Amino acid sequence: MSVDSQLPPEPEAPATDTRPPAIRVHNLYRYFGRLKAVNGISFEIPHGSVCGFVGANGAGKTTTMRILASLDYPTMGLAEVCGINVVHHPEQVRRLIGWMPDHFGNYEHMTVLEYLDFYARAFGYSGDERRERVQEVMEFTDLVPLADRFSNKLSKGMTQRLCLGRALLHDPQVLIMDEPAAGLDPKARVELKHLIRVLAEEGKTIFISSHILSELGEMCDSLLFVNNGQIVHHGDAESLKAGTDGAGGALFDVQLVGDPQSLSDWCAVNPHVEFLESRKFGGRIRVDREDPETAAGVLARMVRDGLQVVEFHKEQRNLEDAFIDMLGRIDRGEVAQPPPQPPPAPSFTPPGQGS
Amino acid sequence: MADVPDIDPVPAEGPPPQAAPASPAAEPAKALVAAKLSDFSDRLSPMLVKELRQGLRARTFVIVFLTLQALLGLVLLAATGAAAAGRAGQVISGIIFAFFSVAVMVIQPLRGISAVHSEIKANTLDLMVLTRLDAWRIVLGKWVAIVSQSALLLTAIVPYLILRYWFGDMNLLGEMVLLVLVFLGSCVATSVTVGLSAVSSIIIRGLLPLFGGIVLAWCCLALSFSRYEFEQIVEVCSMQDSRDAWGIAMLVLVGAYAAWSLLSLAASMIAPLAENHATPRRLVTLAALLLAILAAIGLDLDEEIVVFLAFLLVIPPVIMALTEPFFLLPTVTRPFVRKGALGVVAGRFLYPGWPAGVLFSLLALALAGILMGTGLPENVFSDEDFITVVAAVAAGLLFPAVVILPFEKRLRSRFTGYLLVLVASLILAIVLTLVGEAVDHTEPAFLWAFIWIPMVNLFMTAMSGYPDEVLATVATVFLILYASLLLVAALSRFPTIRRTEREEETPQAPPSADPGES
Repeated sequence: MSVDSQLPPEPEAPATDTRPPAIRVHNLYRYFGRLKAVNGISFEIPHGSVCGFVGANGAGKTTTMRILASLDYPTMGLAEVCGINVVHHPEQVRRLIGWMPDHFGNYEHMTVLEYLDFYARAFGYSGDERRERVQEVMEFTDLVPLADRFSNKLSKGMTQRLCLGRALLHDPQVLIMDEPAAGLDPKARVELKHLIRVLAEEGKTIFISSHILSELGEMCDSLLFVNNGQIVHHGDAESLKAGTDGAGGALFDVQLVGDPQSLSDWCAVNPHVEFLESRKFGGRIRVDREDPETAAGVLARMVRDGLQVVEFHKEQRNLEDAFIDMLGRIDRGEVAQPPPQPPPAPSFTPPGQGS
Repeated sequence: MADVPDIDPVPAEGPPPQAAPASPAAEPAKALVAAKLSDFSDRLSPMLVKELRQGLRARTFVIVFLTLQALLGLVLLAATGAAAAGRAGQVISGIIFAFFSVAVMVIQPLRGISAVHSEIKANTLDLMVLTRLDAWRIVLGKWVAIVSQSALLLTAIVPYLILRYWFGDMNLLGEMVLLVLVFLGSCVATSVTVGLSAVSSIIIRGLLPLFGGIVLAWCCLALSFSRYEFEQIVEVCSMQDSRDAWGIAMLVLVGAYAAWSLLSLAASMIAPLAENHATPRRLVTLAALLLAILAAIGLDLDEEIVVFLAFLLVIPPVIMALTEPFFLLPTVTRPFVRKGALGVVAGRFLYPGWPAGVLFSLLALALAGILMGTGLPENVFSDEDFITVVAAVAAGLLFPAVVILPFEKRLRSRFTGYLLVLVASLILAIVLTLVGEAVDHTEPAFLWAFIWIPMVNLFMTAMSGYPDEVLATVATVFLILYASLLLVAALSRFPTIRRTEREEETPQAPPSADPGES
């Protein structure tokens, strides 16, 4: 035993993380013929964070994720996992990542236990270590009761748990999950969310795409919004909600007793308040500041001016609204998409691009 | 230099996913898992374990296995009753070989038709390649699994052969060698289906092996039930003549080479760009050709064997070399560049991709020519028919690569495009020849218009009316023309190769982050 090992451990000094980011994408392009599936996106995801990847179908999410998983090749640009180039060293990248595709087939004539055992062998485990690893993963994903069931006879939720178990077998540093919650019932979704939370607490970097934005908002440290192959937003859920709220401020649903027209008339003569749409008993208004004092002031003025207000509540905008709002504004040209940076010289002749 | 991340597949540090709290039932469950996961040794390939677990439960194997047993049992029972009629033993041998050869040379290999493609289609291949299994191990595992089931069938018929021994009139060595050869034939046939199973085109992946399977089944049945032919084959297999022994040894070696080539084809189709399968494949081809030349010099090989060797050693690797997609990474060129000028020159022949493949193909064809030159008597080369056949076959190999050149950017798979052109030109040649024979069975004039298709030239040789020397000259001219066109196209891609050779591995990445440098 060395002398050092007998000494009490020194308290860990807070140190800055000098490692390369868990995921780094720079000026990434992927063209399929004339289709620009990924059109010059750049982003970084630090170690130990959970990043949601959001976009409409065909926005380029799966393509980006497949490139990061070394399953596809960029037309141009750089993609790295833990500082390792995914094109040049796929075999090294593959040891660092766990990949959950959006859909995959299961094997006939193979039980859940045998399925995980196959992958444990394929990841290089042997003997007791292999059996223990399978056991651990089965317990973590609650697959023990399904051990003897054929893997192609599982429900969608069970299949996703099996897929997660497979992705975790080699204890990867980075998990890339493409639409893991698609097609799951609410119970299975909650279970999956719980598993992801546990993994995030253990410090794994998780890059996850989903259509269920509210759930992503809850579990992700940051969200990447992609549209037409380009990143349109990178930040946390709150910044998205704030950033896409048009002219800023807050939205209120107001209900009155009496003529609803009186609300729009009132808004027309009062500054800092904008009438948005009429409803059966009132309408929606925007107040140009978000603080509660301003809201209280607006309400007091309404009452003072004779409006018989029976309901006045602030609308809680969810991520779906914010995202759709953002897409609408991009379509209308109110928000400029970040222009793609000039493409770098290709480092190799990419597939599908001829020679 | 920044820390290079831990890339150990089984990281020593970092906790595994937290297990749920152990329940009272956890220990028995653990024991159960341990017991259930001990059915196959760790020494076996994961792919083999997977395929065996699935394959032994698959209906096809169970049906083939049981049917073979039932049929052979019935045959032996019937033969016992007819034993007094004489020569029952040889009839039984024929029947056993008929059933066995169809089972292992046709039915079992056909199970490999979707071996790799089914994984691609189900998205499970992605999951496999993300493990430590490389493309070669995946394909080999698929092949070994089917072959090991065929071996199970082989061992299952041995008791029937022992019983057959008591009927007398048995050439024990000959029949045993034939049995092993049939099994080896099954291995090669399985490599064909598994090798082609990575191709996306259903015509190539499915119809070609199916058609081949039907032809093979017919051959197996015809040879097994034809008493004279069967006896002849058994006689050759008994290797009483040293030339027969050499022939069989050569056949086994060539079979092994063909199987390896085809499996390598599938592996390179599913491998990432950074995995270089082309260079080892081409090196093995060159080594095999050189060995064959040495064998032709040192051994007194039959002329047929020399021609067979030359064609078989050169055709599969040339097809693969001419159809490889041209994606070159610095990680692939670097080992060549490090060896200096010699390495760079070698790279022009050995780099993955069709441009280097063209140079390699021309070199391989030249070596095949040398093999024929050393192994065949001189008078053969004054035979215009022979010249035409050799030149037309060589031109026929290059012709599809020339045809697909203009469509390079539109083709999703060069290999599929190439094979489709090859098959189409063959069918066209057959149709034109049949039509020609119907019009004028000696020298249909319109066939001259299609002589640029090497297959047509080849078929014209078989017709009596055409001047042999003209056909030979035309075949040679087109061989030179197609080789030149491919050479020009390949040389035009060499600047790209030079650029890749000069390129740093990760130009956009911080140098410290590149594990290739560490």
